Amino acid sequence: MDQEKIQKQAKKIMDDFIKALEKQELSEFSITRKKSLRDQEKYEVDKDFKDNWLKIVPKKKDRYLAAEKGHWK
Amino acid sequence: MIQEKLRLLQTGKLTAEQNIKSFIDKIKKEDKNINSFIEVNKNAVQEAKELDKKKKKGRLFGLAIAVKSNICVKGLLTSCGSKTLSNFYSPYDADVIKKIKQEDGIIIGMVNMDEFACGSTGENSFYGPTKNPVALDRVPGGSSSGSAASVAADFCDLSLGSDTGGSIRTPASHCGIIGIKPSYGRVSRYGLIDLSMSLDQIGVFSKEVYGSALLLNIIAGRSENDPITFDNEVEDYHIEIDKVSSDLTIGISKNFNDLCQDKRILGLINKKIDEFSKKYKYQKKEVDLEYVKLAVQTYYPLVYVEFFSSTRKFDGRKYGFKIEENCGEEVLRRILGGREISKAEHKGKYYRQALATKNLIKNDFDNAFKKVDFIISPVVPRLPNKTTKKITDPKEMYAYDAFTIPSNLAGNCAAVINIGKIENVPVGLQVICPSFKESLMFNILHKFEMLK
Repeated sequence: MDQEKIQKQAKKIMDDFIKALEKQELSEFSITRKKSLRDQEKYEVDKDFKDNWLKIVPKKKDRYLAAEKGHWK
Repeated sequence: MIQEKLRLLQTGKLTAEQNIKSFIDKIKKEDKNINSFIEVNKNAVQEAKELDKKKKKGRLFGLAIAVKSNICVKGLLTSCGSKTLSNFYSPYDADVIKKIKQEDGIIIGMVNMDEFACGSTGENSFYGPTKNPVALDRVPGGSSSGSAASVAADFCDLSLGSDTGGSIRTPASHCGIIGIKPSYGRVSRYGLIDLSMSLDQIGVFSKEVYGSALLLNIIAGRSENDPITFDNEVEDYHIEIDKVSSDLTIGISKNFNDLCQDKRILGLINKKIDEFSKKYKYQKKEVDLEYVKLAVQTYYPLVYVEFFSSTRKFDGRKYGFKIEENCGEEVLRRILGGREISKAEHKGKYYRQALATKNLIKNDFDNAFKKVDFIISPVVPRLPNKTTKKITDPKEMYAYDAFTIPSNLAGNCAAVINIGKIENVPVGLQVICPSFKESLMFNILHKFEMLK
């Protein structure tokens, strides 16, 4: 199977579909918000999360997870 | 008659072993022409023998139930009709399977399906296409092709399938049987290998309304394993199918009818509605479902993105084989398409736009159900294609689900019942009810059944 051809075809289908949807007037519900959180919502970041997570990853490079490419083969 | 069979099983005039053996013999003889089973449960007869020793018998005692191969049954091959999972034997039972086993139903085997539920015809399986037992030259419909074919061919009493955009209702229509898609949140999907988690539902097939009503009554309900399931009371659908419902209003939508390409299907449905409304003295009312024309365009971006996300676990490391290297063309199209439109550069445009339109379609149905009690529509826009004429254009294939997708987007319950034949091919009628009105839906289906 030609992956590139299939991917282009899939993208074209999605573009055609989304074009049809974009013509619709959207209800209040569906208005795109400029911010991803509402004002009253507070999202607290767990400051220790990355440090704790980096302690248990199999391989790391600096402050990032090192990909184990091909490790499972 | 399933009620009569249950009575014989309950009274010991028919043993579970006899019931299961008769199906297995029939499968061995006839399924090579249908290809509905991927795996027959080798332990089914032994399980039946054990059940026959029991004094207290469950409500499904001794019935043979076939299971779509994307629902986990402990020890059986849960392949999703794909080479990717062709070596995956499930280590646990899905919630629905646990409930069936608790009521002494017997899983007779795992049935064929379009690969990862991606298809509407039953032709896209690693294990070969399923044949339509009642119209051999036509496709059986999909993706729950084996679930419908196995019931239609009398290889089992009942079966389970899954419906994301019509995967139960389309094959039920083409095979001339009953197919039920419950409301979103009615049945636990724990143990269902998902296609699109915001739309998937597990549902049932049977030859008579009673069988589906009984099986749904058993598998429905809240589960801690699936957070989208609701606490709503599970009514005794099978007992209430005879309930007298008066003063109901039937909804008919021009928006649906305009999408029907084969006007003979529409003619047959209209004739049935007239007969039905006259007999039961129900009113008919036109309802406006303006946005159903966009259902296909709304559904596929959601499915592409959610399917891409759900298949990331099939990397060949823990189990199975890497999906991109082992799947068929339609599965690959959805994965690559989903990957493409999920990219950060698109800022969620496709998914968000589709979600917004999904809401418009849901509003359409909510408004319609303020005026009518249920809506009747066709199931598919044309007769199923011949097995020699495979649909190769994906958009043409997607458009085939135009009547079934809206109920998934709106979360309603919907069902299919056979109303006759055109060119010797079964034609179904779709009954759509508001969410969690399954009891009303079964009542209406039974009334249609009584018209025959």
